[in-house]
Amino acid sequence: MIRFDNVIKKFGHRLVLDRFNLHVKKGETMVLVGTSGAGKSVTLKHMVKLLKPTQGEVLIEGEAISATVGKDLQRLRGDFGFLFQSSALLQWMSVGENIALPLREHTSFSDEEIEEKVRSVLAQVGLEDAIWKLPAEISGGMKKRAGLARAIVTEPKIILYDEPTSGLDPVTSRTIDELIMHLKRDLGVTSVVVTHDMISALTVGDRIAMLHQGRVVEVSTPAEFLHSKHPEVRGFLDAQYISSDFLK
Amino acid sequence: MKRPRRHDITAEAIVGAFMFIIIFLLAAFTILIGKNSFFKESVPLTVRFSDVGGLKVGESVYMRGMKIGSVGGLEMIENEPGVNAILELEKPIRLRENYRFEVQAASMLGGMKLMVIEGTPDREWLTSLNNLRGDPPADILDQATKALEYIRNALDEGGIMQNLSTAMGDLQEITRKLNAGTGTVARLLNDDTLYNQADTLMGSLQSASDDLGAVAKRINDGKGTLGKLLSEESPLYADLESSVANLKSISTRLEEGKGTLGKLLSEEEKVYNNMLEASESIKKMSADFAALGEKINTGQGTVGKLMNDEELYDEIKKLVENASNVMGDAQATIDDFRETSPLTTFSSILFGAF
Amino acid sequence: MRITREPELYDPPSTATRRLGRQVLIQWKAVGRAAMFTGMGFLYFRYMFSHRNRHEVFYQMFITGIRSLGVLTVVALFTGMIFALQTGLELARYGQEVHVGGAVTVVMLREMGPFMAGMILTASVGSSVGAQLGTMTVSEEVAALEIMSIDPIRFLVMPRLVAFTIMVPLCTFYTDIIAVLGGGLVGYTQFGIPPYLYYDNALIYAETKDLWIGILKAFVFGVIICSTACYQGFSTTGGAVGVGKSTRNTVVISFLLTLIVGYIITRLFYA
Repeated sequence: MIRFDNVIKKFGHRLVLDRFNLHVKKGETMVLVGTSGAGKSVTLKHMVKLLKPTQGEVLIEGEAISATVGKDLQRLRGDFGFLFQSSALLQWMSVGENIALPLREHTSFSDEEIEEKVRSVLAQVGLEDAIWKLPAEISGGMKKRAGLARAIVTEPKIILYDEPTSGLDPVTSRTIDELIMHLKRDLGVTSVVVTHDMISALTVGDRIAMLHQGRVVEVSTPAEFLHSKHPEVRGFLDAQYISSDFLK
Repeated sequence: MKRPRRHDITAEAIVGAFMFIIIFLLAAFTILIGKNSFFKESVPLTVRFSDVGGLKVGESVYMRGMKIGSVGGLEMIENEPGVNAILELEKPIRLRENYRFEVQAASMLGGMKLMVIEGTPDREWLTSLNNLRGDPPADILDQATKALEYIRNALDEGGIMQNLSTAMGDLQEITRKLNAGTGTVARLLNDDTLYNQADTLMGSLQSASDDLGAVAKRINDGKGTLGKLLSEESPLYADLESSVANLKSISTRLEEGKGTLGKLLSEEEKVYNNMLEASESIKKMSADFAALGEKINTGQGTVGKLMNDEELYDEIKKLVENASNVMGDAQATIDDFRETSPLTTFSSILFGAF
Repeated sequence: MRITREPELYDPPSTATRRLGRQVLIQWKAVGRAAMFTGMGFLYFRYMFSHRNRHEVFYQMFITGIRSLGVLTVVALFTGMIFALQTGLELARYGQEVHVGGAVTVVMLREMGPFMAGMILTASVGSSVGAQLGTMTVSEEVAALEIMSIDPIRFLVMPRLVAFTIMVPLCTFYTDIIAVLGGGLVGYTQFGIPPYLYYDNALIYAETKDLWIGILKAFVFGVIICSTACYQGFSTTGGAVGVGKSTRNTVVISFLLTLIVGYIITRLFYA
């Protein structure tokens, strides 16, 4: 579904992705973990061409998104839902309007149809009551859910989550995890989750990729990941006091 | 999807109203300052000028001092000298045979206007207003120079100077005689008429100098009448002319009459120097004086009274002082004007003479 | 055109000449980018009244024009009054107070109207556009729009560009009117010029050309303010501090450009 082939990304002279290889299969949830500056968010941004690789290609279902422009890019981006770390809701629009925005812009649905769809996705994320509230009037967790509602309203094939649980309390974090798993189950979408939160990663992930200095150092299922001998992985797990019998 | 936001509709309505109003005003203003009267019928009138002297499209056309329209267009005539000015008048006008179209300065600070002079009543009305001709523009500086020339010529050719010196001689003779106490003084004592005559003359001199004072004051107040000063028809011009002339005759006379009246001259040589010019009315004044001198000489008079009357002496003295004060004021005013551009050229030409 | 920009990192320049050269290059890029934003914004004018943009366009016009009328009124009124007072006092020395009307009107139409309106809209609306777009860029809202395939230029720049290019000229004319009225007020109360005489004198001196060149100037100012604000907003990096910097740059750069371009236009049409 998503394939990185020897991608090199430089900011100036700083190497961010160094011959980066990754393959996300259709329908799976891939979690990218790693320390800050390891290149997780950069990887995510390459998938939707917010960044262009300095060298190498990013393929979405066999198509190089890094080389497409115009209508093709628009079509490819249409397959994606993106949940930003900051939710990125437009501040002057209500939650409902924010979610309706992609529909208004790209579809010819009537106002009534749009409202119906908006209400249904809000129900999926449990935010029916907040439809006319402004983003400034709701809490961080609600913003994440509203952002998620906006990401799924266009029925994307792939959902990208940039730090979905960062800045949230543990209880809300788990509800977000639940949501991610629900969406995977109900919609059958492919997901890529970038996170620092190992609990979240082990809960939602089918596979976990450990990034370090612009390279993938370990890709494995959560169970294998817990028992990895790689020093970076161990360090990362130990720092969050996660023992190898966490999943039991 | 409906949004429960009413201010959107309000915003659209307000923006729409604002745009409508401003665009309407913009259009109205454009028409107004464009001086295009779309809504008024205008009567076109074509006048041919050899030179329009800086007249511009849109400037006003006046007749009998009233605005009657504006200059609608100016076009060069091909293959012929001259410019056609197309006037847009509010109403049709009638002109007599000796009509005139003059381009004049609208104000001291610039701008032109077109004056229509319909002609004098002794001429016939024109039947057709085709082929009208306009006067070449009068240069404002040129006008001023001409006015001065006129005054000079009047002085030199009109015999005023000569007249004046004769009168002076006569007066000198009288005062000499009076000083010496010789002659026909006894007879003069018995005659009242001459005394009265002299008194009246003094009174009129007084009012003349008051007039000049008023003129100086008006100039001082800067009432913007400088333009008018140039026009000979203006009463102010005549006023100034006669006042100056009157004053000049007095001072000249006093300057030369060394006798009793010599005292009166005491300080101001400047007065004399300032007054280099005079005009028609001086003739009359000097003739009056000549007559007076003659009468005294022939012994018809009130010389006794004249001799005994302190009051008359004082009156003359006061008058001269008064006159010199007025002249001082005028001089100060002139100096003020000289400092102030753009009036400099104009005022120096007009007042340089004084 | 991509709005979200990768961070541009360069080696530390080794010599002063290189530093200068790099700065020149960076500035050129900035100007080019701003010009491209503006050009694209104009291209999107064709969607101005489409269903999905209409509301936003009107709302921006409302914010830009109508919300500024209050401050414009006060500023214009006092500008006109001050101007009438100053020129009136000088003209009174020659007994020519009556020309105050002409002086105020011509100056407002030609220069001060567009200048005042541009200045006020820069300070109030331009800065807020800079700050708003800056915040949106920093909080990834612009990137979100791009991923949703909503062109930020059509969605954000175009409505503002419409608002500025229409509202700055209209506000300019509004400023002209208010200032001329203010001048008339001073003329009447201070110098005893009857309103009709003031008005008459104003119309004698004012020309259609003055009015329309003023409006043209205002239009150009509108484009300058909007493109500066949008460029600065979209180029914001580094959180709240970056937003502050963008806002400041928006005001300063718009201000300078307005002055310089104002001079050039005057020079073009009157010299």
